[in-house]
Parts: sequence; structure tokens; C-alpha cells
Amino acid sequence: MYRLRARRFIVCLLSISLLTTGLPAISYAGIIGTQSMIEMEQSDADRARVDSFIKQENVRDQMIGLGADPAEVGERLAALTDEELRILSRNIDNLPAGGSSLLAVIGITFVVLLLLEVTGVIDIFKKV
Amino acid sequence: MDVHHIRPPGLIVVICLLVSGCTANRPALDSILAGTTLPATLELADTPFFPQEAYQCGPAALATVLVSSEVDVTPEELAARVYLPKRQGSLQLELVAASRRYQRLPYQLDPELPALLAELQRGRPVLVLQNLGLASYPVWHYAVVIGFDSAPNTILLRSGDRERVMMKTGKFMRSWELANNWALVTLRPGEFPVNPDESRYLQAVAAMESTGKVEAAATFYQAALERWPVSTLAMFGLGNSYYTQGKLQRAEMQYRRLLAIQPSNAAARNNLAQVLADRGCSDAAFAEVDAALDITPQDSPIRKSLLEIRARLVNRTPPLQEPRIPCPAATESGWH
Repeated sequence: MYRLRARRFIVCLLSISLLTTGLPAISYAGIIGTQSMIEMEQSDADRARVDSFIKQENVRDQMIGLGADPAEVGERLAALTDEELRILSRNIDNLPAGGSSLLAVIGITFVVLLLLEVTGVIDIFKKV
Repeated sequence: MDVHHIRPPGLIVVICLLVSGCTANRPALDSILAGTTLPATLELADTPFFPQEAYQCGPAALATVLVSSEVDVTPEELAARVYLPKRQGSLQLELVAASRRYQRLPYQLDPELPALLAELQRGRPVLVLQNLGLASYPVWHYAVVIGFDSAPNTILLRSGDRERVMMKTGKFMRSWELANNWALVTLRPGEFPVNPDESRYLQAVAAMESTGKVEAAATFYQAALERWPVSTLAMFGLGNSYYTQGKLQRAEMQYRRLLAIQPSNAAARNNLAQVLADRGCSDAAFAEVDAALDITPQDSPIRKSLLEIRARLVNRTPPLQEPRIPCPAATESGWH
């Protein structure tokens, strides 16, 4: 059972690596994609290209890790361009995630006041 | 301890940071409006309002602008597509990506207040990212700008669970600047922002095309070509959109149109060769491939593609279509 799983894993890994090594920067059927052309114009032709398959898998894992519905993630990834995937795969944890309510603002204000109080810049809480 | 112990300079800093938001040195709305054709007051009162649930201002704000651009969508539907529970929020890139899924072009505005206000004058509410906290303690928040009023010097927003927030212009600008002045409109197929940047617009369309919305992308490219008739990128993109839809003759026409302006564009010649090959016009395709190979550097990815097309031609891969329309003469299209 264990061996079968291990074998399956290795087969998966090998087929992924086979797939990815063969992927050209060009989209399909001999047509050069519009995005590829933009990228070629914007960068050196021999700039290292991060493979889109690996990027997708990387971002998929991170998005599921952040609680995205696994059933939706495929379509969410498909809506992103290669460049956007590149940005997310590098930086998903540090990009702004807008979502805060007024409560968070009040929280921040309180924390700042508290810090200033502790460091002795202000002295308002002891009166209360 | 009593009040005397509050140190005045510290208190001033605190008040400045928390209360006024350091608005003193920001221009008032009427001085910003002075150099423009904008009215003194404007409100898109018909803009829909979706009160957000906890942390869901991303889906709510996106729904507001999408519904305003005639998309039938709800924040609940969008939440599954843009919300990241453990970040308690939504990423800008995902809002951009989601609006493409509804055939709306996410166009990022110039990072200036007049550009934002000008969109309102066109009837388009604007999605903005704000930082309601501090630069070092960001509190990221999405809201939708729906108007402005120079008399009390305020910006009007649909924000969070409040339908009509009046925010002092200086305070709004501070929160917006702390979010790099990020502002987005969602354009219907063929629409333009008030002052479109050609390159940014076409890159947004190319992103739409590459994520599979080729029919909408084609409409945007066509509109772009009416506005910028010699845009080779729009011709290339339109050609590719047609090709993806199987409209080979139309694709061919766009590549030829581009090559008439820019004969040395190897990518366009590559794609033209592929279209000709698909049409079963081997001689003409060979001529294009060879013409392109002459001008393509050894290390170019285009060269690899050209050689692949050539190999397929040599191996006589059956064409997608039998040549119903007569093939062009091989010499006619060759370029040297």
C-alpha cells in the first residue's frame, strides 16, 4: 500500500517535470500570444521565465492555505495572467488585503494610544 | 497623576495623527476642481449599495462597480471568487481578475484625484483602496467613490456598512495615498476611461484575452483600433483573438495590416505563417516562415516557434481547414 502510494507520487512528480520542461514560452499551435509578445518587448529575450505550471501550483497551495474554497481556486487561478501569478507566488502574504471594518480602525487607534501611554508620551488612561 | 503631566508636543503629534490626519497642507477640493471642467458638486446617487459583512468590503465594493457597469452579480457570488478568509480580506489582483471574468475591463486610473473625479462625471463610480490606519500599521479597506461636494469639501463614498460616507477631502487623500492611490474602473466592452493611457489600456485587454475572454477582448481591441488606428499591439491582439475563435481569415487580415506598418515584426509574421498553414496554404506559409527566420535572432523564442511551424509544414500536418478561399501567392507576402 505504502509502496504503491510512493510509486504513484514518483510517477506524478516525473510526469509534472516532463510536462514542465517541455513547455515553451509560446502559447500553442504556433501562435505567439499577445501577452508573450508584450513580455518579449518589455524584457530581455533571455530573461529567466518562471514556469507557469509551477507558479500556478504554488499559488494554488497558498490560496487554499489562506482559506480559499478549493473548488473555486482553479477558476480563480485561471483568471490571473502569468505576470499576476508571478506577483502572487512571490508575495501573497505581504500584498494588501482590503477587508477591514471600522472596528479595526478603532482597534489600531487604541493600540497606538496604549503604546504612547506605556512609553510615557501621553498619560490619559490612569485618570480613568 | 494629573493633566499637567501630559507633554504638549506628544499630545500634538497624537492629535495630528489620529484626529486631523494631517490634512492641513492638502489642497481643498475647490482648488483641485478649479483647473478642470468638473462641477462643484456631483453625486452618483443611483449607485447600488451592498452593506458589507465582516471583512467583506472587497466583494461588496467590487459588486458595486460591476453592477454599475450592468453586470448581474452579488457580493456573495463574488466572495467565493475574491475573498481570502485567513487574510480577512481580498487582494487587488483578485478583484482585477474577477472583473475580467464578467467581461469588464479592469482599468487602473492615473493616481490623481482629478482623474478619479473625471470618471464620476462620466457616470462611473470608482473602486478605491484605502489605508485607514498608519503606514506602519495598515488597515486596508475597499470603498467606492460616488461623488464629491466642494462646499463642505468632502468626498462621498459607499463604504463598509454605510451607504453614504462624507469624508473630508484631505482625510480621503491621505488614506488613498497610503494605498498608492489605487483606483479602478470596470469598463464595458468598447468603453474607455476619460483619459486612457494607450499602453495600460491595451495591456489590460491583453490580460483579458490571455485569461480566455477572447470575444470581449476582440470588442475592446476593435474599439482601441478606432481610437488608435496604428496601434500594432491592438492589431496583434485582435488577430490573436480571432485566431482563438477560429476566425482565420479575419486573423490573417489583422496580421497583414500590422505587417504593412511594421514589416520586421517577426511575431506577427510567425502568426501569419501559422494561420496560412492552418488554411492549407503551405507555399505562402513557407514564404512567411523563411522571411521571418531571416530577421529573427538565434536566441529568440520566436525562432523556436518558426522552426516548429516549418517542421509541421515539412511533415505536412493536415490543415485545420481545406483552402476554400484561394491562397495568396507565396511571393506576394514574402518580405526581405
